[in-house]
Amino acid sequence: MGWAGWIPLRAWLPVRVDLQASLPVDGEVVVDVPVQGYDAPMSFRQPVRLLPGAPQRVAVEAFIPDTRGVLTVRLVASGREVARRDVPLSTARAVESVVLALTHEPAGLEFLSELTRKIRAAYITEEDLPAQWQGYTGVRLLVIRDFNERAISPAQRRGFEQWVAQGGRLLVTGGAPLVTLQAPWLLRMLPADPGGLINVQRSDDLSGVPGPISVTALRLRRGAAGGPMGARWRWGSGSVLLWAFDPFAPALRSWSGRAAMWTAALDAPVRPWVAPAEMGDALPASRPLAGSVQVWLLVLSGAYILAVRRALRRAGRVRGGWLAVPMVATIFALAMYGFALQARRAGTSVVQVSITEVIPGTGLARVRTFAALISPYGGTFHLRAAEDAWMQPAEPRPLTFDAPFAISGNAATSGLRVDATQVVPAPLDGYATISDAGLRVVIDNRGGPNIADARIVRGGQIYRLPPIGAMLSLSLDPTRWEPFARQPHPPDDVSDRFMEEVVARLQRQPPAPGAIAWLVGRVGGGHAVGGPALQIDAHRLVVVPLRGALEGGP
Amino acid sequence: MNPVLRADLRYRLGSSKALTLHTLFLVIIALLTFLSLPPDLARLDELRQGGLVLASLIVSAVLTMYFTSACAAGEIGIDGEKSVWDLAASSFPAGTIALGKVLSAASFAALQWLLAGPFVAVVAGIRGESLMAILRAALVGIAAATAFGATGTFYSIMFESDFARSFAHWTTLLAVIVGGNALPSPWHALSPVRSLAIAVREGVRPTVWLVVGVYLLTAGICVGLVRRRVERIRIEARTT
Repeated sequence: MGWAGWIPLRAWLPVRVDLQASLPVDGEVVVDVPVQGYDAPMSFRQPVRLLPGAPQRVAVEAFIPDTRGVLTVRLVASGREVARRDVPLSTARAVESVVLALTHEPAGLEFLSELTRKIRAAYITEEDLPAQWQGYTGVRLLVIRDFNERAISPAQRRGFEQWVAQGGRLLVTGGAPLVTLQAPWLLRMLPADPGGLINVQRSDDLSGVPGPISVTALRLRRGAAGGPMGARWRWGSGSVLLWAFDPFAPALRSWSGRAAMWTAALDAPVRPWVAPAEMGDALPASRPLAGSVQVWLLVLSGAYILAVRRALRRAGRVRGGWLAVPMVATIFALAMYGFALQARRAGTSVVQVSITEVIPGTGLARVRTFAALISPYGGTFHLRAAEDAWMQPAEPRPLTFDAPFAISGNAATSGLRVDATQVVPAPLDGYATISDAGLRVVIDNRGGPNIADARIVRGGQIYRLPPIGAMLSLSLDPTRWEPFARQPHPPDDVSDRFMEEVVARLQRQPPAPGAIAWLVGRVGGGHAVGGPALQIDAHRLVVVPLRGALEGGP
Repeated sequence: MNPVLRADLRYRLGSSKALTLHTLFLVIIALLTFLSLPPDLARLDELRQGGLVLASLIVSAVLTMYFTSACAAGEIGIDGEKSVWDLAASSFPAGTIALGKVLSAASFAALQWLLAGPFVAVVAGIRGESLMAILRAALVGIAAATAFGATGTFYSIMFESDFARSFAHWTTLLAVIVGGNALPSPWHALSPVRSLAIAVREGVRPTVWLVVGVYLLTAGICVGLVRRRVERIRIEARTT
């Protein structure tokens, strides 16, 4: 379970289940994760088909919010529990994050346990690499030493690339394995071209390491920083480090300077998300019953009481008049029940806000979608997102995951909030140049939807732009900048509220490396969609870092 | 049709006092319905979604039980309706009187459940509950109210003093509704509130049928007791 048994809390991780059956089984593997404060667990289900005598390994993607309690793995067929295994969880196995090391030699990172932060190492093979980038959420650093490109699937490769581009940290180590590395797409991500092996007697970067050591000759690429012993650059929002030496070599495993070197790798700067999970708190959690609904109900109730009084009076006087009483009651019961169903529907809605953050130069964007299921009158729900958008509830609660993108369960009357993250193609990029005349921006939005209510955010000021179509090239008038200040009360409109949150965060956030300003705007405009059982209010915001000079990396 | 039932029904449907009674009943139920509407109410842990529908049904049931038994016991007098004492002096057979009075109580209970239906339907609709839950509750509610009505009829002829009658009536109501609820399992199902909750939450299980049977048996026993009492009154009247 987890990464070599280590469990980064609330991060997606694999639960591997080895199965073998004597009879054919067509069922599902269910992983029940305890949820503090609830009797029922959070369940992760995956269909499975077992053939007699054929062992099978199933990896169920799950996340564990708390390591107190017992995790249960069940094999269920036709609604019947066929097998069950309880796995006690331990707080000792909970970690802040993990370092994944893809190496044939599973040793050399033991010193991580000496760090003040609870970061632990897990030695993996190619088959352990997640097929979706969200599978890396608990990973602080991915170290690649021995890599066989043929051992990974196209989905694993895409997940790997997307993870680094959206803000992951990758370290590729040198020495002989780097020289023989044959993965063009991975080599393209490196900040230097690896050459042949050379022996170095003594290096200033590795002072104290007994020489000679075998290192890979590096030729830095344009935009990369570093020297002969290592190179680095940003890859999208992430970071790629290349070391010319092999830190797993015996001489470096006992080197006194290794902790500082690894700590620098663990803390390599990456671009944080503009929309962190806490931003979802700005979503509404309830919606009061509309005044018109209450008035109509009052009118219906009054009409019913009057009608029934009339029918009762008639019943006592006219022969067969009593028939009017059940008739009136039945007609009003049906009408009022239908009305109540409509009121319930009006009160049940989904409010969702997607914040698309363009990753400059990659043609990709990372998207965080906050969705609030407002269900004041309860009921059951099924929520399904795009397959590459993995969801987590803001607060752990008993829910069923048929996949990381499909949740169902009983709707909480206090509302359910989920966050979904995904990486999508984004044909949008922006540049900014500063001159004596002021700031000039160029927005390239060919192939993308129009951007409304666009504004440039820079140094605590905003500049309102006209709607952006395919292209916008504009010199900004220095007199039209406005200071940004939060409104005393959050705006009623959800889209406005999130716009304010995003701008406030950009104002607080240190400027992204290489970015001069930010473009923030709305895409598509907020719209309400009426479904058979609920209403959906969807809003989309887009955030683009406007780069200045050509940056390193893509 | 039983002549006593026919006459009672006419007065219990359309007399001015009956109209006031039904209107009062409907206004109370309507008020409760409005109070249960705010979405935030369901956030209280104690008041889960189904709990509000159940609470609404229990209030309807308790009110129906009270009104049915109070009318039968003479605590609430309906204009024009003849009491068992008056009917004892008539030429109707004692069995007809006893059966007619108990059937009047059953019809009155059914009428009140029918009248409350649209309001309970609002609560059920907005909370996503099935209308079948109301029908299941009505089965228990009407049977219990009939039993209380039959008991009230018996008290009306047993006790001449208003105070004694009211005392016996209220004691019976409290003993069965509150006291029954305090009994250990499975006997607590004898309380109409408890059996109604079982019927709504778990369906019409054998326990529910058993309790409904007990209520109907009680009503049947009361028919017999009232009949005997009417016959004794007639004998006493003839001998004096």
